[in-house]
Amino acid sequence: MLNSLTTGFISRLRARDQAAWFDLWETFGPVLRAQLTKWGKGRIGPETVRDLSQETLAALSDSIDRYDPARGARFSTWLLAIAKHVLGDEMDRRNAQKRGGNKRAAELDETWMIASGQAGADAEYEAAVFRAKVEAAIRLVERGCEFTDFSIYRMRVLDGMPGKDVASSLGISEPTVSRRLAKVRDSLRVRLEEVISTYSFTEEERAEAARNGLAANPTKPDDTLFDEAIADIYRRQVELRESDRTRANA
Amino acid sequence: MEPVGLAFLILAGVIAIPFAIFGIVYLIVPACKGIAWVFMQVFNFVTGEIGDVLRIAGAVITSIVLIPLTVLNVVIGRWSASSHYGRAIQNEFVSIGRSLYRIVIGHPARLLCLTPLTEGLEKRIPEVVAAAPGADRPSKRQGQFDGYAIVGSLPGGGSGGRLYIAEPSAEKIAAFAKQGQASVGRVVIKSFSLADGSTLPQIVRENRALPAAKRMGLILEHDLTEERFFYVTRYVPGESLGITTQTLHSGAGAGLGREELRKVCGYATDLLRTLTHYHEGGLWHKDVKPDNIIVANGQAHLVDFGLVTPLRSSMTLTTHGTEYFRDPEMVRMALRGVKVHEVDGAKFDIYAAGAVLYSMIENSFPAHGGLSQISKPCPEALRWVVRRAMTEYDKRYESAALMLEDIETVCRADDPFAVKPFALPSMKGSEAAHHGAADQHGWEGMGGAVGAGATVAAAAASVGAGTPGGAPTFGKKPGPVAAMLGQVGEYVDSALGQAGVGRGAGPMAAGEAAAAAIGGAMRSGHGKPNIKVTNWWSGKYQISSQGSAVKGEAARGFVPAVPPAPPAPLRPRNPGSSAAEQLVRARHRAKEAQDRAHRRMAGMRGKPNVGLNVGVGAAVLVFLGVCGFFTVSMFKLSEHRSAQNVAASPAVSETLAGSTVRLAVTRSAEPGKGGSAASGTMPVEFGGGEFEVVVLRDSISFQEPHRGAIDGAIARLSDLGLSVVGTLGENSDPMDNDRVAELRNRIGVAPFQTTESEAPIRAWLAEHPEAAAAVWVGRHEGGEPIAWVVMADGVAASGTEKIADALRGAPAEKPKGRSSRASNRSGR
Repeated sequence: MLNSLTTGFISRLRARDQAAWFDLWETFGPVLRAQLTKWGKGRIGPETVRDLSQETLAALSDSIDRYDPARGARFSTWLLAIAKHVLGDEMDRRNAQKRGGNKRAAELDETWMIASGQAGADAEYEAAVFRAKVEAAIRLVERGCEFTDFSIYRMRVLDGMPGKDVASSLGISEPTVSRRLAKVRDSLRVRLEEVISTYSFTEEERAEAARNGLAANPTKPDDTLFDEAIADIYRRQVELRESDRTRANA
Repeated sequence: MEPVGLAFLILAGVIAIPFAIFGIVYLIVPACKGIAWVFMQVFNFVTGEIGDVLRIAGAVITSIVLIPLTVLNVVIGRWSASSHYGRAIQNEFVSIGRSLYRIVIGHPARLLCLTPLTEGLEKRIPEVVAAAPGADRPSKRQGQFDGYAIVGSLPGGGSGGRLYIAEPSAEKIAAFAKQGQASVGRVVIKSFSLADGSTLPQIVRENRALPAAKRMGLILEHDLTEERFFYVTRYVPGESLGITTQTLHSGAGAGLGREELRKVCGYATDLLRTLTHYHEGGLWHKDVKPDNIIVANGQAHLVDFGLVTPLRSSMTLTTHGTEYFRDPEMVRMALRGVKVHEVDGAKFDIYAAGAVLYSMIENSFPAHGGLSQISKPCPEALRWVVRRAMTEYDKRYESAALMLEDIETVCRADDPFAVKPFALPSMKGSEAAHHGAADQHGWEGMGGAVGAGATVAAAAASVGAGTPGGAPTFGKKPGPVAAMLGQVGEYVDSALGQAGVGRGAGPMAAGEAAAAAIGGAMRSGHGKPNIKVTNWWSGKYQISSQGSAVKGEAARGFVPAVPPAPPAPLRPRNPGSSAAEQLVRARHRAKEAQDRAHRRMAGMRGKPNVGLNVGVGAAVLVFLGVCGFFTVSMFKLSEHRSAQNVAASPAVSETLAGSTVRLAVTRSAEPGKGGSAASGTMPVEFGGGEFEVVVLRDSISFQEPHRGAIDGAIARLSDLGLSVVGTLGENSDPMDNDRVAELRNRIGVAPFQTTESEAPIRAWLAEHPEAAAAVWVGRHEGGEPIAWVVMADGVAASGTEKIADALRGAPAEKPKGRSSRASNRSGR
C-alpha cells in the first residue's frame, strides 16, 4: 500500500507538474545515465545517453497514467524497466537503419508494473538509486537547516574534518559543534524517511534505510555509523556526478 | 615394437598432446580469428562499397523526382514549397557527396586499418567548420552599420545574433566621449536580423534591459530599425576565464599556488564588482559563467547581455542559463511560474559567481550544485565563501557586495590559508545578527549583537582606509588586484563617472558614509529603502536610500571627483521605445511586410507568368499526374482537420483584445441535454468557491509575454469566485492533482480543440457537477496560446459570458462572502 507522500508525488507527476518532473530528473538523472552508459557498452555516446535518459522520462510521462500501484513493482524497477525499454528501442532502430529499413518506436508494455525479477536490476543499480534518495534528503536538509549548522555537518561529516578543526574554523567550542551536528543529524533522519517514503513503492524498499545503517531510531553508537554511511554515500554521489559531468563534456 | 620404444612413443604422445592443445588454443584459434577478421574486413568493405553505390543511385533517382517538383512549385508561385523541395535536393546531393567520399576514401582506409588517418576528415573538420565564425561582413540584406567599419567577426552563441568586430568612426568616438564613454577603441556589434533568421522573441529578449544597460554605461549604443536590431559594446580582446583557469592549473600540482590563488581572487573581485554594479543599476546578468568572462590585462570582464533582465521585471522567470552555473532553485521557481520581481534575481547571479569561483579553484564544473566538494587545497575561508554563495536561495549572501567583502578579506591576509571563516565580515556581521541570542544556542565567539550593515560597512571602510585604492593584497606586496584597482576597467570607471563618481586618491574615512553606502548597496538595486539597525539595544535604526549606494563605492576606493550628482531617476530615455512598444511596432512592420509580399505575389500571378506556364505546361501536366493523388489526399486531410476544428467551436470563437491569448468557448450544441443552457442549473454568480474550473496547461512551456497573459487570464477566473484546479506545485492538493490527472487520462492523446477531445471532457464535466468548465491552454497555429473553454452543460448563458469575460480580461467584481479555498474544501 502506498503512503500519502508517494501518492502525492505520483499525483503531481500524473498532473504534469513540471516541478515534480524536474525533481525526478535532478535526483535520478545521473543514475539513469550511468546505467544507460553501462548497458550501452560503448556503443552509444554521451549525447545519446543524455537523449535517452530524457526519453526515459518522456516514456514515463506517457505511461504514468496507467500506473497501477497494486501490482507491486519497486520504484527502482519502475525507472529501470523504462530506461531499458528506451535503450532497447534505440538499439533496434539503429540496427534497422543499418539494414536500410525504418522501424517505428516500440510500444512500452506494462511488465514494469509487475513485481518480478525479470527487469534484471543489479545490486549496483539498486545501490545507486538508494544513494540518490539519500542525496535528495541531504539537499532537503540543506534547504531546511541554518547555513552555519549545515556547514558544520558538512565540514565534520561530509568533508571528514576533525571536530576540533571545525570549532577552530568557526570560532566556536567543540561541544557547540557536537550539538549542532546532532541537530542536523536528527533533521537528516527525518528527511531521509520522508524521501525514501516518497520514492518507494514497496515495504521492502522502505526498509532500505535501516538495512544500510541509516536507522530512524538510533542508539548512540549508531550515530557514528550513520555519519559514516552518509559520508560514504555522499562521496560516491560526488563521483557519480563528476563522471556524469565528464561524460557530458567529453 | 620393443617395450622401451613403445613407452617412448606413449611418453612422446603424452607430451605432444598438451603441445598440440597449446598450439590449437594459442596459435590456430588466433590465426583463424585473424583470417575471419580479414574476411570480415573485406566483407564490410565490399558491402559498404555496394551499399554506398546503391545509396548514390537512390539519391540520384530521388533528385530526379524532386527537381521537377521544385520547378513546378516555382512555376505556380509556391515559393516556400519550392524552397522546401530545394533543401531536400540539397540533402540528396550532400548524401551523394558523403557516399562518394566513403567509396573513394572511407571504406578503403578502413580496409587498410587507416581509420586514424581519416578521423580528421570525418570528425574534426566538420566540427571546426560548424564552429567557424560567420561572414566578416554583414550580408547585403543587412547592409552596413553607419559609423562603424567592420573588421572581423566572432562566433555567435546560442542567442541567434551575429557578432561583428568594428572600428567606430571619429564622429562616433566623439559621440561616445560626450556620453562619458572615453577612449573607445574597437567595439563589438551584436546584430539580429529577421531576414537572416533571427526571431522576434530573440530580439525582445535581448532588447528588454538595454536602455538601463546604456544608462549604466555597459553598452555604447543600441538601435532598432526596419531591417534589424543591434547593440554595441566595447571589444575586450582576451581569452575566456575557462582557458585562463586551465593555464593557471597547468603548472600547479595539487591545487593552486599562492600566485595563482591571488589571480583567482583578483578575477573573482572583478566579477563581483561588476555584478554589484549591475545589481545597483537594477539589472541581473543571468548568464554568469567562465565563457562569458574575458580576461584581458589581468582583469576579468563580464560580457554578453543576451539574458540581462531588469530585477523589477514583471515577466515570469525563465529557465535560461547554463547548466552547472544556473541555480536549480531558479529552474524550480520558473517551472512554478514565479515572476522576476517576486524574487531577488541578484541571488541567482551570486550563485553563479560562487560556481565560477569553484571552477577556478577546482578547474572543473560544480557538478553537484551546492553540495559540490572542493577537493584541491584551498583556504578554508574561500571554501566557505563558495559554499555560502552556492547554498540555498534564502541562505546565501544577500548581495554581491557582501561576497566581495569576504573575498577581499581573504585576499588581504598575509597568509590566506590562515584566514578562518569566522574572521570573514559576513560571519561577524550577518551571522552574529542572525544568531543574536548566541549564548542561548551555545554559539560562541561570534561577538555580540552587531548589525549586519554596520559591521560590513566598517569592514568596507577599513578596506578603503587600509589600502589606498582599496587594493587587497597578500602580505604587503601589490598584486594584480592592486594593479586592477589602479587601472580599473574603463567601462566601470566611466560608468561610475556617469553617476558623478570618480576615482580618487585617498581613502574616504567616513565610516558613516561607508555604512550607509554598503547598507544601501545591499539592496539598492531593487529601489527599496534599507532599514539598518544602528543600536540593537535601543532599537534605533537608519533608513538608507539608493543615493547612498554611490557613497558605498567611494568607501571601496572610489572617491567623488566632483560633488556627487543626485542619481539619475530610472526613467526610459526614450519613453516611446519600451520593449512592449517596440514589439508592437515590430509586429506591425512584419504584418506590413507580409501584406507587401502578398500584394507582390498577387501581382506576379497576374503577370506574364502565363507565358511561362505555357512553356512548361507539358512538364506540369506530367507531374500533376504523378502528384495528383498525393495532392488531393493532402487537401482532403487538411479539410478534414478544419472541419473538426469548426465543429468543436460552435458557439463563440474570439480573440482577446490587447493580449496574445486567443479564446475559444465551446458550449453544448444540445441545450436540452444535461440541463438547459439557457436557464442553467448553476448560478450566474460563482461566489464562495463552490464551483470550480479545471485548467489543463500543455507540457509545452510558454514564454513571456504569453505566459503572463495565461496566468492573468487564469487569475481572473479565481477573482470571479470560481475555485481554480490545476495550478499544481509542491503545495498543491493531491486530490486536485488527481482530478487533473483523471481528466488528462480521460482525454488521452486526443488532439487539442477537436470533437475527439471535447467528448471526454464533456463526459468528465457531467460526472463532476461542481465543475463549471474545463480550460485547456494549448498552442495556436501562430505559436500564441489559445484558451479553449469547454463549458459544463448546466451553466447558464450569462454564466458562460462571465467566464469568457474573465478570461478576456474584463474586470470581475469579487463576489461578497467569498471564502478561502481551504475552507471551501473543508466545507464540502
